[in-house]
Amino acid sequence: MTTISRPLTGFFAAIVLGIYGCDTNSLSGVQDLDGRHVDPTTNSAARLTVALFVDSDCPVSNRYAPEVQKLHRRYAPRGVDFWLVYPDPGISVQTIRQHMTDYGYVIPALRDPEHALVRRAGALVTPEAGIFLADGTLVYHGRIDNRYADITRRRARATQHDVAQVLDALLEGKTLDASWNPAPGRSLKAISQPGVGCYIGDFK
Amino acid sequence: MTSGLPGRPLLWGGLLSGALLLIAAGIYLLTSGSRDSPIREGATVTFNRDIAPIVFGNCVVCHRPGESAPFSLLNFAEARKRAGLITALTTSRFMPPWLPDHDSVDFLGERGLSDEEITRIRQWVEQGAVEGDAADLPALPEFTEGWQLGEPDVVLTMQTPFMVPAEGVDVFRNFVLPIPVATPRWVKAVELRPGNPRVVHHAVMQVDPSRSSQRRDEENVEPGFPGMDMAGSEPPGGQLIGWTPGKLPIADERLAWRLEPGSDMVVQLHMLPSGKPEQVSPIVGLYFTDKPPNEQAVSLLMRNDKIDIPAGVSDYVIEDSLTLPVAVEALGIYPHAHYLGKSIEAFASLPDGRKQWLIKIPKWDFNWQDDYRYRQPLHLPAGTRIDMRFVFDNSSANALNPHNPPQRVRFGNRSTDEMATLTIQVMPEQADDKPLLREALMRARLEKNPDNWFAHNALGTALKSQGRMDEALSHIHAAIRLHPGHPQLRYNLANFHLALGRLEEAIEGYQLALAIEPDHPKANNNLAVAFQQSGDLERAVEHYREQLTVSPMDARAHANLGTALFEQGHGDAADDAFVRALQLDPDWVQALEGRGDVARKWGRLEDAEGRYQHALRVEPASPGANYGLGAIRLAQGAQQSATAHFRKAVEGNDAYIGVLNDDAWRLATDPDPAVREPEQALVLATLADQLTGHDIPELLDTLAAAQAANGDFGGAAETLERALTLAPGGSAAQYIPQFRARLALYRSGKTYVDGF
Repeated sequence: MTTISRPLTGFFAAIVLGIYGCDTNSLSGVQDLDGRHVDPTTNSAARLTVALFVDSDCPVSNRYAPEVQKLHRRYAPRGVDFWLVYPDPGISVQTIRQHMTDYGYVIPALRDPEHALVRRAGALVTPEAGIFLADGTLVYHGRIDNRYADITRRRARATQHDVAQVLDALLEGKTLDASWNPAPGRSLKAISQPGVGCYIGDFK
Repeated sequence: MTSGLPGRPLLWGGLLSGALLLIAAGIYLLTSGSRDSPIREGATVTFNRDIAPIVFGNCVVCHRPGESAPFSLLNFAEARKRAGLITALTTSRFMPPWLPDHDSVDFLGERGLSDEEITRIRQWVEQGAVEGDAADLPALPEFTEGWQLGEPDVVLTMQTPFMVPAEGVDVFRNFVLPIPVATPRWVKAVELRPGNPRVVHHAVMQVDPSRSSQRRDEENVEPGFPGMDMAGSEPPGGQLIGWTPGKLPIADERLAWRLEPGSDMVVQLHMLPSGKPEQVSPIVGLYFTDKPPNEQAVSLLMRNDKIDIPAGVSDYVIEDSLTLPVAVEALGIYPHAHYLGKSIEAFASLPDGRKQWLIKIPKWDFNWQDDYRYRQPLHLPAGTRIDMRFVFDNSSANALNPHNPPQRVRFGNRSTDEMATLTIQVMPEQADDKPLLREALMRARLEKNPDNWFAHNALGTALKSQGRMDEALSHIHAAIRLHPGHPQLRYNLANFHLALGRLEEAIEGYQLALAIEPDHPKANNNLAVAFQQSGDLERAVEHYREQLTVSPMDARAHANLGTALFEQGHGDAADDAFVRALQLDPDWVQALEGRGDVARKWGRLEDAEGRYQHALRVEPASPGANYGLGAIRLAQGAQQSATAHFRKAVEGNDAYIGVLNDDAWRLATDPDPAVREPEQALVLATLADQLTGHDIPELLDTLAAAQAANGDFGGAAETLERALTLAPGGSAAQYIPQFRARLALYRSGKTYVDGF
């Protein structure tokens, strides 16, 4: 945190650090809608990968659909891969397809019934994002922005756009603290900003 | 539940903002032990036995398919999938949604869980959220699908749905739904089907008797008009008609309100973008009753518009008070503030020194605003003082603050402005006290703002109802000085003049209103009435026709047109007009009477009798029908029955004395011998004279003519002599020369015939 090349006032000051062991296991059960196993954190040639944890009947998650698509439109051309991740083990492929049609999602979707990707990204609620470097290192997890102060209070507009700010920083090649960008297999500190929404843990 | 995330509780340590504490609490509870649990120690809490009764009793009214809540909770699997969320939201008391505190005053439909129930839910989740024995599962509550109050009498729909965008700030929009009724009706209930319950968060319904809402609607191509200002609409009959998810409509004949033809229902919806474009098309059902209420409620609207909240201030207070001049029963209450609202309190200080809470909302949340009905009406004696106190938080600590950074905020209807209004629905204990109450309310408002034209106008109306016409007129004039271009004020003033019989001023007033608003919904009709009363039938007919161009569905105007055409002698055209009125409302009494009168004139007595009897079935005291039946009985020679009907007609409307007199005069003195019916004339004239105490010279003149027509010249002379002694100094003085001339005829044994 101390050696970021440019001071990111306010935003990073509020960030809480959590410590995780890097999960080197394969992402068991993660598959696309055609049933093919996918590991979005390592199979990508992208510069960065964003996994967005969503749910078809979580109102908070659904209200973020336009914002998620804006992020996709803005950052996909800059080499960022986006994946929708449905952690509900009970959801069918058909329901996911319908949900994507309803909300106009054009981002590829994955099912994560065993929550392997949930654990890898440290996701707690829908909607939350996990941002991975090209080598699979988790660098951010948490809310998309601060539109929701908590589940009971929704701001008119977000005043802090966490995912966009992290992506901007990374794409601009900010040199981060070594602990922020460790070699695979070692512990890392990822930036975290807890999300507000529907508990993924409830699906278990 | 979070055991798969070792170390996560660290996230909550000390660094969380207050806003996140709720989530922290929810998660903490999930991971904490149950050592503080007082319930079912050692026993496993199961869904079927312990949780389903709570969920079925409190949640599924909204949390089921097709309803407003985002997910269904109708069974174990669905509840299990949201177990942690349920715990967090019930622990925070965010769900079930209910803003007033539970101890100050009892409201109908109160929602909320007991501490014990919340603990039970928490224990269920802590213990792994098990399903339990299927035999323990209670039956699901039975819900009525579709209209909760049954099929409405009238259904109001939108022609084009409104599209709520996928994202953005909350949408406040007013939809204007014309109400297709041809005649005034009593409305006992209003039910809203929001059209898209997942998007619609709250609704307020008001009625607009003017065209102002329609004009606002026409300002843009999309359905409705934006904002929280509901144009010229008002809560009908003192009613608070709100809708929130899960709230059931109430039908209450005691509180029925009068719906005038040509009115619009204005439905204000608070909508939340859902993440995808959504169609919204609210449907309103109206339920009528034939029984007018004995008493009508009054909306006591307390408000203080002097709101000016500096940026950053977290405890800005706005207060208002009102002392009740009369005793009332408070039936319901509707507090209203926007996103800066922090807490709302209102209480009554009774004359005996007791304090009665009217509402206490410790933590205001605009998103869950609602109107509340007291479980038992609150008795508030005369002299009770009502105080309201609103606190606002315009600091950045208020997450809902629409401005970032905070800005100075003043009174206004936009959701980014602020309001402090408290509407209390009260029933005056004496029905006659309603104008006194309105007077007190408007005077209080004028004390704060002497230039409030609305309050001057409303005060004028309240004073008019008390018969204080001069004071009333001065306030109507004050309102017009403050807002000279408002057509409704001109119209109101003209109504004053019409009520006072000042026909020229009334005509001028209606014409002014129509110059400002050519399609005013009522002014043409009333202008025509003024012309008809002044004897200008041609212009009366012209303006009734204008009225019908503006409002083709106005049964009253069709029937009025019929009466004017009938007076003009156009029986066929009059009958057509009455038929049109009856096509719009088969029970419109005035038109039934009118058709009866036309049939009677044409000598079709059986037909006429049928119309009159129909009118009496609808309105047993109908003076016009009683009069018509009296005339039929008289023609049939049934004098006793005729007299009984005539008496009823005069009891219902003493203007029928004049009709008795006119008919008696015609039957006694018509130049056409075929028209003259001296015996009938005598019955009518005798009755008119009896009913007025034998001392109205004009009626005595008629009686004398009838007596002469029947050959009783001595009686006629005696009667007219009495008229001559009574006439000087009164309005009949002008007829003294005619009386003398007729007296001479009678003394010489001659009858009087008009025109000879």
